[in-house]
Amino acid sequence: MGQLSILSVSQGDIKISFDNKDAAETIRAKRIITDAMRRGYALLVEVDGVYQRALDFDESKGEYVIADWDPQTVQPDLRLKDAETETQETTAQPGPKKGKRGRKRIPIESTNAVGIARSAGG
Amino acid sequence: MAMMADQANEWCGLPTPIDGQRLIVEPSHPASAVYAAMVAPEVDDGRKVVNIWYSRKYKSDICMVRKPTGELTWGIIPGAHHAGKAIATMGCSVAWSIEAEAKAMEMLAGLIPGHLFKMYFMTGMFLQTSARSGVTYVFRRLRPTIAMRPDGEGDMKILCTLCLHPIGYFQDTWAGSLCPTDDVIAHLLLMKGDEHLYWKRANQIPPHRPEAGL
Repeated sequence: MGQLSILSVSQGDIKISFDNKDAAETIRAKRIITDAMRRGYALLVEVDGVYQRALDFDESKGEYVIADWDPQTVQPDLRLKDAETETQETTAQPGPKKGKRGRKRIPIESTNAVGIARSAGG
Repeated sequence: MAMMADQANEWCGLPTPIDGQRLIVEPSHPASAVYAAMVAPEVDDGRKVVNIWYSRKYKSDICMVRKPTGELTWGIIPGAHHAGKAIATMGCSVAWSIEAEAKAMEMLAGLIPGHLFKMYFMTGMFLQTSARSGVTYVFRRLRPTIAMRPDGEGDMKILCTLCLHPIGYFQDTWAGSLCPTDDVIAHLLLMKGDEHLYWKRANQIPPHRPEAGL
């Protein structure tokens, strides 16, 4: 069962579980998410163990909308210089493709997410 | 404050104000105007600020001011005193509950490996390197996050410190409205989930400034 944790004041994090059996609670939860997005909250959705920010939320379907692209990683410089032959061998591998910049939808019942409010500064 | 939030049907909660401490709440919070009204309005004496810049010599801001008569004068805005700021931060602990901090610690334990959680539990800090940018972050309780990367000579160079407090923070302290570990979680997840947004939303404090907490 999916869960949304919203970092909050006073008593600590608010945890909202999405239980399809309780329709009223699910409707309330979806309205909270829509309100949070409107207020500029960052919703970080856990996808395959990695957190991604939700770009939008479809209240009618109860789905987070996230970007659909391959993650990029830092590639070390692996070029080697052969002193005897004074040739350079390149063993650097090309980086992963960026992938299609589409959108992916994740049902709220199937994933965990964390909501973080806008910053007041510091 | 929790009961007041429930009565107002405010799901995002109401930050706890502290007497004698100015609470800054982010503008989109429904009660931000209420908290802003708690502070006495500034008196306009006709002086206008012409320029402000930081002095490394004085570790303070230098401010040029034009008086209503047209005369230019200057003054020093005292820089943050580390010990004073730390003591003021301790005083803000009345705004947090042990239960909230315990919940946050439990959540953080599920977000990072065991040895890093132990590091944080013992020292109040832990390290994480972003696979995306190669920047290493030192996440600290009640201090801005340190961002650094290798300088190419076998050492690490501090780029800046990142200060960010969701919902609200207490002016002239390192304390936010959220309990300390919730602030750390916010930094960690924003770095992991949207590093670009993290840098965009945080205040980037140069390492030489006392506010950086170094």
